[in-house]
Amino acid sequence: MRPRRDSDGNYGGIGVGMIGRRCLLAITLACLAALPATGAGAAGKTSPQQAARFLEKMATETLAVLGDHGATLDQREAKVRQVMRENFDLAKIGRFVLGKAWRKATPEQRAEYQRLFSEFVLRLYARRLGGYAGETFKIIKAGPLGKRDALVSTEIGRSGGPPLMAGWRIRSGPKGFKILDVIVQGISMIATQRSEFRALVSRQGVDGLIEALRLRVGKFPAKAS
Amino acid sequence: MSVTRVAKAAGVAVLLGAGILMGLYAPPARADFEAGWRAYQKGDFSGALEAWRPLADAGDARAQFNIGVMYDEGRGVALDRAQAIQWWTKAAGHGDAEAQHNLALALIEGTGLSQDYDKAVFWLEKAAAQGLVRSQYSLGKMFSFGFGVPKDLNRAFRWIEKAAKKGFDKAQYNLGKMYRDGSGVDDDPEASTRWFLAAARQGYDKAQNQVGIRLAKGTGIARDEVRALMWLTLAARQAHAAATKNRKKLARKLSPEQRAEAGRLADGWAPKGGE
Repeated sequence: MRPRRDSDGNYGGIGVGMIGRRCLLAITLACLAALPATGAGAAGKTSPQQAARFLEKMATETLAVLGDHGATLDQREAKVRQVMRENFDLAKIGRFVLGKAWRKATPEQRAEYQRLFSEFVLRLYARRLGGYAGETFKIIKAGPLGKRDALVSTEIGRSGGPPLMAGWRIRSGPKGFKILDVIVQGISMIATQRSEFRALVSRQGVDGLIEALRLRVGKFPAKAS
Repeated sequence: MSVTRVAKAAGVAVLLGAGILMGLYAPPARADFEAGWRAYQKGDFSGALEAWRPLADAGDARAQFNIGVMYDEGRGVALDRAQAIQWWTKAAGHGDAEAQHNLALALIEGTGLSQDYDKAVFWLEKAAAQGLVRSQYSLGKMFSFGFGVPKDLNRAFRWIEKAAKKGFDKAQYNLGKMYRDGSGVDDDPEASTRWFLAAARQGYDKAQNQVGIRLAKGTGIARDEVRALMWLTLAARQAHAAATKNRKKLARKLSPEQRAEAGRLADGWAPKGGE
């Protein structure tokens, strides 16, 4: 099955073709219930209002980067990746996305996977959520999600296209607020990746997944001449 | 003059005319490509696609390559790996080295089409012969794993060495490993450390960890525990798990002054060079 075009024609999640949109929505709901409050001394609830302010600050930083037209697209996206690296809990996301295979992976496999996954996912998010001309960012609402997280709903406006609805799952912890998931047009990005990675791991093992990630980050971008 | 001759002459005239016309049309094509690039840089991906699509349909390899990237990354279009591969196949056929490389990687990955190592090696060889460093490195890896080619560590070594000499950090790191393990080449601790160091200087954390280990033990280089701690600190700052452990272990052995000195060296360090 070929990847299908989403309603706005733009934001097909990766791997949508393999599993289908309806199925992904179901997985998304399952994931919203997952990501349990693990870790000893896990703090209490995340204040939705504070989470919204945290997100707004990140968005302001990101939009400032995107508005810098003296920089090339590659440079702008590299800066967006840097902002995201600071604000996403990539270690937790990486572990969750690998699922059961994480427990069986060797320390070397885990380290290599986490390194490549971070690079891959930051590239993906920076492309999905940034880089478009004339972007605007608006917070629609913020509320609790599960026992300890907050979900901040936003509308990312783009000139020459319908706005993109994105929900941000945020948790406060010892290192401040961290983003755990982005739900784009109703589809959880970590759920999408988890399904895709599970298929890859079952076919080719963890080493095969690592190799696939390595290949994906090794491709050349668009060129000027 | 026979009929066939007339036909041939007419054909030549038509070809010449077409050539002149193509010559006349070349500047607008260039302008369209550049307009597409400017739109792309601004983040106007549909504008870029509009500019590039007619060029791609007319056989412009750069436009075909770029449209392939847009489908592969889902920029301004729904992500569609099969489409990406179709466009890259066209551009690769026109000799576009980056398209040959991306196509080879897609063939190895096997998403959007079936995995085909033989074809991947075919395209990597083309791109590597055109001097594309990443393709030379990837081809070396194919030879070292025996994917799509009979396993051949000597040839693996030669391709990876080519890419390393051009400054590609991952190739330098791999060459360090090959000299360390005697894989495809006689083992040589000095050469190994030298190549690990080349990649470490560019900021590659795995290489920094190796250099740290080798400096701490004095393998292939004079022992220097302070500098060892500096390299391990640099790798640990990039969250390299083994380096974090190695750094702690070494730090315990050193005096507070030595630790402070290593910290100062790490703070003043900046990466150099690159592909």
